[in-house]
Amino acid sequence: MTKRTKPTSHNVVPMKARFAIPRQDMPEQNPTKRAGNFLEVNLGLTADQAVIEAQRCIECGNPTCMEGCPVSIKIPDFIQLICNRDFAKAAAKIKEDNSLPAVCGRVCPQETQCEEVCVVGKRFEPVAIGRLERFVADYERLHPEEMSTESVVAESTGKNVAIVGSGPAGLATAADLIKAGHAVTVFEALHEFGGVLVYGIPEFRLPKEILRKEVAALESLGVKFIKNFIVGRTQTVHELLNEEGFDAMFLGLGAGLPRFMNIPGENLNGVYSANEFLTRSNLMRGYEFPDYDTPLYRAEHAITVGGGNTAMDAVRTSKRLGANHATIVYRRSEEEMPARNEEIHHAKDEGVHVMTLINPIEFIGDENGFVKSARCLKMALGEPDDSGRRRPIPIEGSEFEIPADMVVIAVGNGSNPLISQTTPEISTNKWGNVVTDEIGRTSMKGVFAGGDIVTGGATVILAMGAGRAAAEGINEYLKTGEWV
Amino acid sequence: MYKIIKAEFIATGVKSFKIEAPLIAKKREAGQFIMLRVHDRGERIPITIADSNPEEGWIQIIVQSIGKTSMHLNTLETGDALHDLVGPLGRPTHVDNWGTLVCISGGVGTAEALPIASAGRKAGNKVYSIIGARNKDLLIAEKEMSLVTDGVFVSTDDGSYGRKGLVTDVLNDMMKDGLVPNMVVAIGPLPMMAAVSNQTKLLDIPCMVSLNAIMVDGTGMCGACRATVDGKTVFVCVDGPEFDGHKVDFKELGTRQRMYKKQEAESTKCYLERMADEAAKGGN
Amino acid sequence: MALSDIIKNMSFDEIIKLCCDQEQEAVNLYTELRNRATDDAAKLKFQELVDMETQHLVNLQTFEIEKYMDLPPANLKVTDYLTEPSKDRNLTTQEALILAAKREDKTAKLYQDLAHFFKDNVELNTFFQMMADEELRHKHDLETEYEDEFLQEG
Repeated sequence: MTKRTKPTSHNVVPMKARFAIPRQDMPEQNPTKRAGNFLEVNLGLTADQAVIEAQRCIECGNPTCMEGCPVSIKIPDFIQLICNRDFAKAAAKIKEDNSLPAVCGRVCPQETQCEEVCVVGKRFEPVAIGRLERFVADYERLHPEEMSTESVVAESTGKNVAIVGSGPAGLATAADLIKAGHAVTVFEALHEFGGVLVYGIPEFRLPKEILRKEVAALESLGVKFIKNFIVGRTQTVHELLNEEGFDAMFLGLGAGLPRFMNIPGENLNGVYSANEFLTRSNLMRGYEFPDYDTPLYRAEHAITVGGGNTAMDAVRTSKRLGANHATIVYRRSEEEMPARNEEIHHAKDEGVHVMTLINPIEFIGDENGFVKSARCLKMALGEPDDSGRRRPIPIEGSEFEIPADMVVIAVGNGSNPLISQTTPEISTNKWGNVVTDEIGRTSMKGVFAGGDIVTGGATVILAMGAGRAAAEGINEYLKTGEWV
Repeated sequence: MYKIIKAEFIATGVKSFKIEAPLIAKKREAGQFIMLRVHDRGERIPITIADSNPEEGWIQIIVQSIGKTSMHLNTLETGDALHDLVGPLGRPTHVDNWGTLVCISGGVGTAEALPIASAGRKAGNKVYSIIGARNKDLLIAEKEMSLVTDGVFVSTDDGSYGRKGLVTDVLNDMMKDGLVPNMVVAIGPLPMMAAVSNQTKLLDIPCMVSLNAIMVDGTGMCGACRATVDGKTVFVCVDGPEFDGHKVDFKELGTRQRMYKKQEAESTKCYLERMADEAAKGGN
Repeated sequence: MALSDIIKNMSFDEIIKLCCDQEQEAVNLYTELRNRATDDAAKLKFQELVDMETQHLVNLQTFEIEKYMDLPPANLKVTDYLTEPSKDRNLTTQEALILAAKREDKTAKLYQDLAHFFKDNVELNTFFQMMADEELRHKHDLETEYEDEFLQEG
């Protein structure tokens, strides 16, 4: 976390009156309309709304919101700047700790992070920190002329760092390291930069234009981006470190291994992993077929198995592709769904049907090998186990069939094993995740890692936090050469 | 980047491309493939690397015009460039000294079988090639095969060249003449590989096949290319593309390959109509 | 001869030995699968299973009724509906857990059948009930691990 002094207050609203200000509503595209297009659902607060929302902050002596943030953004500080309509300065303030506020303001689960511990939220609705972050980030993008032109890049250190993966972990690490004066090259296996931000999260939640601008901004600072380069195949980790002059490396490979359920019928036509379905839609723009060449299945009865954000993204995409029946099938109860409430709420408004305590046990195909239905079991929550969790248990004899001409399996992802398979010096644990210490060092000298490749599937902001921690570690390593 | 150094048709609808790709050329081993995109709205498709030259820094691919992407690709000429190219992907072919190796190939599979035949010979095998084609005009790489094998046998469906019949007929003939393979490698259209696998299973001869599957990323991240081998789901892009032919569920793979037949036909139709329109406009 | 006929005439120590043989079979199976696995993560998982079964073996050899008085947790049946991976192949961690959980389930059923068969012999009935419960405990642990890792969002 960068250093901080308590900000000047610019909030003209008297303290008591702040509690009376209602939380500003986020303007959204009409649900029926948006269920037929891929345009962004949330339209963003207006400037006036942002100022009013910022005035709800009571400027706590002990800002717990900062503790709730995985990268400790100086939340009260940027909020005061919004109160003073210094939107550009507010953006710069956030960027001291988070280089992708336009992304995080949209996808962070603020309701379980900063907003969960907001003191105002104890009695009223918490300050809409996420929406303010988004507003300010969008303002900056639309008003680049207002941003400070003073250089943020330190003097060149002569050191070279390779970053593998251009997802949130890689981008955050690149941002910190380029500013520290190192030469940074980001290698990406796919043909577009952004990792899960570009292939996993749909356009209607995160417009790709934002990512293109963020990558361009990093390029203008000096980061080199190389696409269509698979570390471990095109060149190995050893070659990059020993022959290509890289002094350190960061692995931000992500959780790019789809999990399947191991039930009969999973290889039928029309059964997709969430990765494939979303990649076809988001990265390859399959929803614009045949203008874009990659085909994408348009189903009538589309079911998505899973309850996380990925499942919500998949089912909402299938709805937009024309499914009259777009359904979530989840084996636990709605309260236990890991997806953000906002995403579940948006999905339901768009006409998605949510079936809980249901588990598919077989996919049944037609005579052409295409899935036509899913045989499911009803579940009941058992007694809490030692961890306090109530686990779902199948109800014997409760089998029934639901029509499904497309199934998306979104039960989670594992770590892509390519680099660990080709670089045995990098230790992995029994789940295939790369093992690191608290500053991201792997078992191979000079190689750091962070994000989903270490933790398994988690959030964008945690990946960025790990990237920042590793960047600090890399800085230290490049300075001292010590690896103990 | 990804500049085409040389593009030329080598048979009807079959084009060879030598592409500038020094890093891929340096790393590539027989059996591996690349993923490419022809234009910025294009799909990602896998194509086996037929040849490569690390000193000169190029790889060669052979493309048959089947659907929109391959048709479009085959309109590119020397000097043009691909939009995206990545590799080398997949596990390299495992070549041993089996004794007698017979490479059975069809379509562009022959270009893919060439480096395996060559590697097989280097490993000490006696190598024979059986090439199948629908007709004489679709035959490729016969001469190149003859240079790296101890004999090439051709069959065409219509008898316009070589023996009339299928590659499986040729293998039967071969064995009747006393030539018994210790290993068969079959590369070509799926029905051909399935037929050879069945035949070799009955004859108790080991058989390796190189599977084609629909792919999106090619790095094991999406599962589009999954197939069942030995009762287990594998990803062709990272576990293959080579597998024991006797253990492959060809029926399932064939069905999965046909998943987008409707969309592919639509895409091809739109493309051909657009080409016709442009040709008409150009003519005015 | 049916298993139950064989057991009828065994001494208690001999019955314990029979159960130990089951656990030893599991140790052997998981050792073989560990050696065959090419996936590093699966290798680690199988080693864990070898260690787990070895510990079960030790527990049996120092069998004490008091240790097994608690009821086992509910049978989650997570793996009951999943396809059984073949023992002859090179398995992944996910398959390893499915295989092991199904094995524990089978063994539990075996012990439950024996408990039922010896329902008129209080000592044997109780013993086999406890063995079944213990196997179900193992199954529960494996299945919660499976759920937490492979059904994170499912």
